[in-house]
Amino acid sequence: MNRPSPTEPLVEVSDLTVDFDTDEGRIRAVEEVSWTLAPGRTLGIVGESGSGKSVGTRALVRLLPRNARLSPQSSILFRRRSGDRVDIARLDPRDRRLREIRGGEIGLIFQEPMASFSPVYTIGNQMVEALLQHGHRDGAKAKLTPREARERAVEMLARVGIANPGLRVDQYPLELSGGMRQRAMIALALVTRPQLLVADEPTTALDVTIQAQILDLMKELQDEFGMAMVFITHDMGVIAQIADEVAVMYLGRIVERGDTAALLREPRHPYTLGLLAALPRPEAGRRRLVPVPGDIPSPLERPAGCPFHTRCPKRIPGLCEVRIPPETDLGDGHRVSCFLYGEQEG
Amino acid sequence: MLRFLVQRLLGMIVTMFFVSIMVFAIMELPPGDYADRYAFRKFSGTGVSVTEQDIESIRKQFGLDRPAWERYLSWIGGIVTRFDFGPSFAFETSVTDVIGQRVGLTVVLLVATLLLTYLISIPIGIYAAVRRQSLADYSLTVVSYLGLAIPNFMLALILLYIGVTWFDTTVGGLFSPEFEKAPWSWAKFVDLLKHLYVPAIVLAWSATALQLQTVRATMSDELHRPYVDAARARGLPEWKVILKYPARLAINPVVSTIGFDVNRIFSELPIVALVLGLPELGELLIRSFLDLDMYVAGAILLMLTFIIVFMNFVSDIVLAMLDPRIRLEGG
Amino acid sequence: MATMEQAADRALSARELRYYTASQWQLVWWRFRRHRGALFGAWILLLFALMGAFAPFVAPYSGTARDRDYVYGPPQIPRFFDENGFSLRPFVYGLRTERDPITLRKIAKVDRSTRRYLRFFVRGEPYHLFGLIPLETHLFGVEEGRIHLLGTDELGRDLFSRLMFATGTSLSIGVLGVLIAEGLALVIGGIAGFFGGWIDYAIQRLTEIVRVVPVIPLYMGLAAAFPREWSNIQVYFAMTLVLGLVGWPTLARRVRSHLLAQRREDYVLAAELAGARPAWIIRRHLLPSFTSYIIVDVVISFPYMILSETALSFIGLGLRPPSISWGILLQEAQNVRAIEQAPWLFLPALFVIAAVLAFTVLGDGLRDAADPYAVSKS
Repeated sequence: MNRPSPTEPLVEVSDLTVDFDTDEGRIRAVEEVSWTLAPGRTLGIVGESGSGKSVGTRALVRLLPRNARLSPQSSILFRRRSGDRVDIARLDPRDRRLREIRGGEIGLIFQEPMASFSPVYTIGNQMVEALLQHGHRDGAKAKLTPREARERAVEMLARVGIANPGLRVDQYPLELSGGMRQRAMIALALVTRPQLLVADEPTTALDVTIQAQILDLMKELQDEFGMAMVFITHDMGVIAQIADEVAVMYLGRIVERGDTAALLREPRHPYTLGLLAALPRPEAGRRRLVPVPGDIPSPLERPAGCPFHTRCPKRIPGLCEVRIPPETDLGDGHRVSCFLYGEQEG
Repeated sequence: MLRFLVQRLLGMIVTMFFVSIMVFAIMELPPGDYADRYAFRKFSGTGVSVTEQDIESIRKQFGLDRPAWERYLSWIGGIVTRFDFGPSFAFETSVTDVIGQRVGLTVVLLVATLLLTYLISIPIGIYAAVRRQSLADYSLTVVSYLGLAIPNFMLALILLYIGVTWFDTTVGGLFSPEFEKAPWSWAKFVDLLKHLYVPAIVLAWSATALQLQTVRATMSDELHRPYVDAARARGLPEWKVILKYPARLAINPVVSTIGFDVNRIFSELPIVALVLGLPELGELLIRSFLDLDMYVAGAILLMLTFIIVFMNFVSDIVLAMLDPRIRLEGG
Repeated sequence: MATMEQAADRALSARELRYYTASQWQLVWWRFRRHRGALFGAWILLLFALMGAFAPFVAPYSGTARDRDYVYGPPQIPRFFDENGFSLRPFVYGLRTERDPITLRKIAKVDRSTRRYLRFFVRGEPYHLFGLIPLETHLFGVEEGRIHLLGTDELGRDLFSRLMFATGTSLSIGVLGVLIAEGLALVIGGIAGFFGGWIDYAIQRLTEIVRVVPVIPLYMGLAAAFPREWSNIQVYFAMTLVLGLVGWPTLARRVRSHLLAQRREDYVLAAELAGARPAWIIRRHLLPSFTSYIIVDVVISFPYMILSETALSFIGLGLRPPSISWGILLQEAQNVRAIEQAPWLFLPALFVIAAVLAFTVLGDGLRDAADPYAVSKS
């Protein structure tokens, strides 16, 4: 599971802060999020709904609604195939580099498999379109011909495990079963061989057996293509299977992060502890489930200080509701934002 | 697909069958019958008094003494086999002669109106949905309310009013005086085109208002769907993201209501034609009802309905071609 | 918007308390009040309804009375002052008839030397309010001579009076027509939706066949059958019947779809599972959700009814003179001579447009207010 990480990171996110201008006020969805990802590695992002995990990753390709605002300090450094490094946060939305990166170098897959496909065009039509937009003949800079594109599409469909790809490529999304659609969505995202795949809860809507198949497929493809992956989920079990590193998010901030095995072995942040405790376990017998107490606060009423303090059983009065805890390094890349562990600046 | 086509075709035939029965019932509704009116027309004012026997012999001559269902069958039989719609007593010739030329003009009017409607409503509707709160968006709302509030015939009246009070002309007519009775030629065709735009605008008025709203609403809905976002995430240029994906679906409701639009247009046509003096079927319909020339009226009702039913059929087919969901789920 | 728990923690403010405990109709009413356009529409319609219902009172003259001295006369707008000074009471000028020396036609000339003061609640021609109460009082009038607020037509009839009567007739035909159509629709659509199966199928085919024929030609066909000998009252009621007979298919379709949609709702299933009897379910659950849709459908159908009557009377296949409706008034206005000489005769068109707009906006407002899930227009 653990792959050696080459020195140069593929993505470096620093201080990413995303606000939304709404009628009811300015809502902060993501606050000062920073992480890096090396090629070929998988970062898992876990958190409840409302934690900002989707927004944070959509920001990578600037796929945000019109009322979204990135703070001036936000920076998203991405190393392109050509070797150039680009700050995606600083790009003008109409910059053609953004379009080149989207789909060509960073691919997205979603929770709902039908979400990627328009119902009125065939699967092949949409895959070929993506290829014609991004694909190049190996080596040369020349764009693909439609026939070459179609061949690649069929190959990709076969590679994701869809039987009879030559037939399926001319079918409409509604003609495919649920599991096949999910595979087709993966094929659509990966046919352009992006360097980074962002997967937003792709297995949440699937039942457990298919879930396992899809996860295996994704890992295989990742190995084969040397892709990096950002995997968003609220399911700790999936994280354990697929992520090299994990970041736990709460209300827009990363509260704990680190190597997956280490973090799962010794979770530190009270929220992480709560999440893990809430997992139903067969050996627990007939004990009641222990959810994390309370509700996630409304984004319009962000708590001051540490965002989790309103529900934290170990909250320190006078401190946790006043200041945001800085990140404390616990060694081996395991970091946590909690006053329980850091020096309390006096 | 073929099965779909055949199904729809059969449906069309069945519908027309029942409609013909209904039209026949309407034709039979007014008191008195063709023979009475024929005799009245022919002999009134001539000083010759008409006896009951004369009317009876006319009746026998036209087969009007036979029971209703027999007369219906002979009427519908004549239509289906020979395009013979019966006699017109007001014009003392066959109905076919009377309505012949007008059918073509009516169709031309219809096509012009439909073209105008869709060429305006689709692009502007799409644009207004994409650029909300723009000038196009607001004016669309205003225009659609106006379009609903001012029905076509009122607009025709208003144009007539404006034409007379401010421009000192009467708007209307499909031909300049010199071309009216002339045989067809290129020049006549051009003249027609020059006159076509006023009636087309009037007739397209409410349909355009309605479709503008429909297109904008559907487009708005579709723009928020995840597949649009997904297309953007694949790096497609913005124009493609809008035109290839949501716009394609926004056209669906327009296509599916073609029959309805034609129905509405034909509904307002008689009055607009009356006000603007257009030599086509609708205006003739009014006159034939006023004269109780029922064979003519029945024929026109049948023709207009047939065109509507046919357009419904066409819209079903086109919709199935555009949207695989309909094709594959059996519609 | 705080979380539920936080809300429960606070004591509810008085306003919130009222909101949470309001009945369904109260909620609908409050939402409706916020829709300014719909309120405006409602006021206009109320005004028209009053004009129509009290037409003999509001109108200074009967709809058929002729003023031979003032044919094609322009409107007389009441003034408050002129070169002779200011007057608290509004007045109009007296009229004189002269013969135009060239055309030899009678023209009405305004005589600025005589002032006729407006008086309110004057005695005038006797009439029967609502056909029952004999009265003589009119809303306004002048002591001597006549006042024609909106001018006169070719026969010297006062347009304002005729317009008042026309409003009443047109609106009432619309109301009756809609009621008949909706009544038929409820029965037929209800049967179709309730029983389903082949009854539903047959009824659906039937409605399709009626709907596929263009509406106004269909009306024309039915109206052409009115015998010449019928009295105006008979024609009036026959018109409402015709409007209802042609209008029911569209409404029936909607009734059926509402019914079907509601029957499939989970809450109906829940009630059935809880053991409720069908009558109870219909009364307690289906009917309330249904009623608001029906009201909206009725309001939205009004404009079509009114326009249809107007159109039919306009071409001569509907009401006949001396009946007065908007359509008839417009018919008299549409010849070129009328437009040239008396453009004010077109005013009924404004009334028609205003009524249609008002109903449309009102219908929109009601629909938004009644639908609890509608997102407010922002």
